[in-house]
Formats: sequence, C-alpha cells, structure tokens
Amino acid sequence: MNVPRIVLLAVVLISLVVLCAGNPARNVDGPDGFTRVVYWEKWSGYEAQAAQAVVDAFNESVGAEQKIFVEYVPVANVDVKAQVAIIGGDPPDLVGLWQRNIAGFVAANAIASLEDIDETQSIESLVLNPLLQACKYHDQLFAVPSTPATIALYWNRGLFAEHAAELRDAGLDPTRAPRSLAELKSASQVLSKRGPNGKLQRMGYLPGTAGSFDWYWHTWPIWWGGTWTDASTGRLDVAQEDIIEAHRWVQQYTKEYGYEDVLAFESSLGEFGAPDNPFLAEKLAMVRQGPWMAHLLRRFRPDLDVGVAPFPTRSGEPIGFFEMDVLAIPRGAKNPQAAWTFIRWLYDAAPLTIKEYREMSPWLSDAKFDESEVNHAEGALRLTPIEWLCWLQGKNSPLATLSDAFVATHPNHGITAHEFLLRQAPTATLPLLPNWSELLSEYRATYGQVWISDCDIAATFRACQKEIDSLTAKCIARYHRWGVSYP
Amino acid sequence: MIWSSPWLIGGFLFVLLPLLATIGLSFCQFNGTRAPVFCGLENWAALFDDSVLGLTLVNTSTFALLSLGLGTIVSLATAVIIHQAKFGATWWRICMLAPTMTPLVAVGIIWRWALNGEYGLVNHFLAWFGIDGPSWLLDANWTLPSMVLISIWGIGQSSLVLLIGLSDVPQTIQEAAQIDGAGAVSQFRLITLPLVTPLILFNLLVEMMYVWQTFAVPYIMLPGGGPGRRCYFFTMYIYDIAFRYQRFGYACALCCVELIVVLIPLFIARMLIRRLPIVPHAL
Repeated sequence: MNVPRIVLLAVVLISLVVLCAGNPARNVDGPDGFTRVVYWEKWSGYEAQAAQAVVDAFNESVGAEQKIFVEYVPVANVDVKAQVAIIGGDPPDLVGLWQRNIAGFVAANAIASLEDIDETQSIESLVLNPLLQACKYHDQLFAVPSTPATIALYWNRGLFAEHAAELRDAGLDPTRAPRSLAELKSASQVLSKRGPNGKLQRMGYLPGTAGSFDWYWHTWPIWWGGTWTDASTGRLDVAQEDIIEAHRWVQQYTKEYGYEDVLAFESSLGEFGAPDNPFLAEKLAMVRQGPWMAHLLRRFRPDLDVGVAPFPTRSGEPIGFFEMDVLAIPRGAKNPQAAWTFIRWLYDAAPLTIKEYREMSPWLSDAKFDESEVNHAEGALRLTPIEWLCWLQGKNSPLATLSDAFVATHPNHGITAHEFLLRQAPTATLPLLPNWSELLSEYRATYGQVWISDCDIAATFRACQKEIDSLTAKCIARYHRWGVSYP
Repeated sequence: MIWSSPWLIGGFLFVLLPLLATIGLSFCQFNGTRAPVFCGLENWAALFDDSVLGLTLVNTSTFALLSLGLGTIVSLATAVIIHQAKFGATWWRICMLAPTMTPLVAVGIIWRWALNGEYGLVNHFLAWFGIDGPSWLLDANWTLPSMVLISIWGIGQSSLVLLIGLSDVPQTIQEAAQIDGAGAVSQFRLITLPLVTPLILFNLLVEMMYVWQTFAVPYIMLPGGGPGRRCYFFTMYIYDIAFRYQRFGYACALCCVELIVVLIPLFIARMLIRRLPIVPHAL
C-alpha cells in the first residue's frame, strides 16, 4: 500500500469516526438570534393545534420581548423517544410527558428537578394541590400539569328517556345518571338490547378489553373505594380484598351477558376518534371517559343528548379520579431557563380574551368555536394561557382558582361535573411508582384474564401479586445500587 | 483493501461493535441515562426467574413452528401452481410478491379490519359456508392462529425462491419418468421435491430468522400481546424491557439469548443441508 492510499484510508476512517462518534451541537439559536426552545409533545390533531396556538401566543408576546422562540414538535410515543434522545445527549428543551412517566424518569435521572432551575413557589401557589402533589417525587417538583382531566360517566339522556318506564320499574330514576355500581348494573341491563339472532346490539355499559374503547380498565379498585398501593409500604398490592372484590364484580357483570356474546359485541365496536365510536353510534349507552368527549360529540353527533356525571362508585359517593399530561425539562436540555420561562408564562401571564388569542393564531379552524361562546368571551371574560390550552383541548383547568370564564365558555357543557370531581370530591390518581408501566403490564395481563372468564379471581390476583413482588424486589435491588429509594 | 474499507469499517462500527457492546452490557445494570454498573451474572441469572420470558419463548416457538410449517406448504403450493401456469406467469409472480412490498404497519391495520369478529372480511367469507367465525383478535384461543394466518401474507419471497428451483428441475428427468409411467404425483414426490429440498431448507432458515424477530404486526394489532398475552413475542418483550421499562442491561442479555436461539437451529440446518446430495452454493 503506497502513502496516498494510506492517507486516503486515514481520511475515510477519521471522517467516519467524527460522523459517528461526534455529537454536533444543535444550533440553539432561533431566528435572528433568538434562543430556540425545542418542545416535544405527544399531541396530534386538534390537541396539537391547541398547543401550537398557545406556542404562537408566547412567541408573539413574551417570546418576542425576551428573544425566545418555542418550536412545537409533535412526537408519537414521546416518552420512549424522549428517553432515547436523553440517552443520546440531544434531548429537547421541554417535553410533554404523561403523569405516569414522572417517577420512572426521575429514578432514571432523565428529567431535571424544576427547583434546580429556578424558584418554583410562585408557580406552585397557582396549581391545584392534588395535581401539584402528583408532579412531585420525593418532595421535589419535577413537572407541572399541562392538561389535567377527570374521568366521568357520559350517559345518553335520549336512551334513558326512551326507556324511562323500564328504568323506573327497575327502581331507577331515568332523569339522572346511575350513582352506585349497583345502579349502573341495573341501568345497563335495562338499556341493553339483543337482535333477532340473540346477539347483543347495544349494551348499557361494558367494561371492555384493556386498551380498547375503555381506557380506564385499571381504575376499578378506585370506584370500588380502594387503592392500588399498600398504605404502609407504598408498593402496588393487587391482592387486597378490595381489588379482588372489584374484579369479581366485573367478572360477574360480564358473565351475566355471556362471555361469547360480549366478545362478539365488542368486535362490532368502532374506533374511538371516529363517527362509529360506540357511544356516538349509540351502541353503548354509558361510557367512562374524559372531558375531551365534547370534541367528538360536537364533530360527529351534535344532536346527541348527553349527560355528564361522576362515574358510579360502590358507595354512591363520587370520587374524582384524574390523570394529566405534564411538562418536564429533560436532563441535558440546552436551554432549560428559556423552557422554564415558557412554563412560567403559561401560568402567570396576563389573561386575554379568546378573541385576542385567536388573533394570534388566525389559522385555527373556526369549526372549533361556537360563535356564541366566542362572543361571550369577547367581553370581560379572560383566560390565562394554560386555561386557553385546556379550553382548546376540552380538558379541566389545573389552576387552584377556577376562573368564571373557563367554565362559562368551555366547549364541554359538562365541564362543571368534571371540575366538581377535581375540586370538591375526594380525589384519586395513579400511584407514583418508578416501575409503574412494568407493573401495569402484569396487572393488564391479569385483567385480560379475569374480565371475560370464569377463573378464580382471588387465586389469579394472588399469582399476579407474586409476579409484582418479584419485579418490585428486582427494581429495589437495582435502585439500591444507584442509591435511589423506592418508591 | 482501500475499496473494501467502507464495508469493513461499517461492519465494525455497526455490527461487530454493537454486538460486543450488547454482550458487555448484558453484564451491567444500565438504563441509558446513568453510567453502566457491572453486576456480574445478575442479568443472566434473572433469565431463569422470568416467567414472562418463558411465556414469550413458548409463544414465539409455537408461532415459528406453525407459521414456518404452514408457510412452507403454502409457498411450495403457490410456486408449483405458478410454475405450471399456462398464461400470465409474470402477473401471477407480481401478485405473489406484492404483499411482501406492503409496509408492515399497513399490513397490521388491514388485517385488524379483516379479522374483525363482526364486520371482518374473513368472517364474512366464512359465513358463505355457514361458519360463524370467532372474535379472532379478542378471543385468547384465536389470537395466535390469527397471527399464523397473517404470516402467510408474506410468503412471496419464499415462493419466488422455490419457483426458481422448480425452473431448474431438469426436464429430461421428468420426461424419462413419464416414459417409465410415473404419474404427476409420483413425479412431484420422487423428482421435484427432492430436487427443491435444499431450497426449502434455505427458505426455512431465512424465514426462521424473520419469524423470531416478528414485531411490527403483532405490536400494532395486539398491544401487550392481546388477550392472555398469547401473542406476546420475544422481540416485543425485548423492546418493552429496553424502551418501556428502561432496563437496557437485561434487554442486552435477552438479545444474546435471541442470538443463541436463532443460531442453534441454523447450525443444525446447516449440518442437514451438507448431507443433502445437492447443495446450493449460497449455503
């Protein structure tokens, strides 16, 4: 090999090493010397439009003054991709995670404590306390709520009215939603309908396959009045009597309709975000859902007479179960201060009218707005940016003080029920466990087994608990090595 | 050397180095964000105490056996039919290969609709014969057969290889057999099949590697493996362990297991192929 060839080989090698091993610094400056805040968020569709509208409002106001430009990037499976980006050393400056991610990301050292970035007291005082506590891990604030939502019962008032006499015969009041699980079961039996071939054509209520139209399959222990965790250890305990009883109720409920029939019926149900959504298509008279249902109703079935009420519980007393999307700053973010400025602005910027917000995002589809609501909001009623985001997405407000404008103009006419659940009922939410998703997979597999079979519930959940204990023990050993406590 | 260097460097950087890193990290506790901590054989010992791993191995092995068996029969039958087609052979080949060019995500979505228990095409077709089809994707007893059925979708490549093999079967031998009074079935069993057997084995080897890495379609159609986790396959588990549960060290140990599981039958098949009278050069 002569010298030029060796030189050429060396050049090729060095170039490859530089290309592969190097981590070229991203251009962190935005247009015209602005600091660019890259904001990854899970939302798509109308939710992404809402976030973009809020980002536009920031870029046109405080962003322009402080030379900060927020770039909104919709990312599917944002938790997984953010984690990979953090590992790769090139994370976004701001990431929209799910509440269930917080503990795992903190334990993995993947998100920064907001208290390390700036003082957080001023924001903490503005956030509703149960939401704030759900964002804290080991008493440190790692995220702030972006869009919280309480889960309620959406019931078809038209069908209830149509079957008023039968409901009365069953001892129920057709003018209101069921309050207890017993009432839910009775109402469902009345409202369910079979076709000439004996197949189910409509069901009053159906606890479905995990992850299908029923996103909250894991919340049965809550409506039963229990919790997921052992009070003394804080660890997941699915072998508790309350959890076993709750699932025995689910199993019995499904059994009364016949397992084969229920599966066939479930096969006939359409997609969630489509006109053949089972609730919109009146195949289900009642569903367990969040406030975003208003968008689907407005778009596909504005004629449907729908009521919103607390989801029934065993005792009949309402429970405010909430979940939320959160904003966090990844470790290694290039511009954490600028990202924090955006978060602060969301919460403490001067409120504007909806008309003023719309002027900053003229591209927002008019279909989203009911003109009477917009006109109503043109007066003295004003929203802060975080309320504007939640308003656009049709969700609850995370603010400790609920503004009149928010409730009065909200696109979901049942928002009062959702806000009641968040602010006046006893609240419940997901446990802050760093290995929650792994444990939830075990729980999900067990739920999949029990809701549609005759299996022994107690034995099945005891077996599940054994797996959960084993996974927890391994997790504790791993965390011990890192010096992180569990949970 | 100079011209092969990009491939050598690429092979080192993107194949050998990751392989060595995977083996090395399988002895570490590693979550990506914290520095790896050496933990000896902990991850390897954990393999023997992992019931989900056992489940995924059983699921994947069952799926591999069924889909490889059925796939071989269907791909051979397809190749024979197309080989004997009197007209439109090119169009038949295109039809055969078209499904393999469809993106896997699209395949998953299409089949989710086709296998819908109430409105799906498959049950609609079965209803013509008076059969009340099951809830394919909701009934735990039917999810794995559904996946096997879907795997037949991608037999185009295997059929093409067999079609080439069938074209290479000497016409003279078949004519001689005909003169000796051999019927079509005897010709196929005694002449064609033995001559294409090396290619069948070649297909089995290649397909087995694909089948063991089955991920996209079941991941889209049956998140979490579906009812009873019957379709929770090995690669899905590795993905979950690494990216959802952030246990990269253990995921690396699982990757090593996958490598071993794929290599063992590969060596066995290689030995078998070498004993055959006709061995393709590629092997």
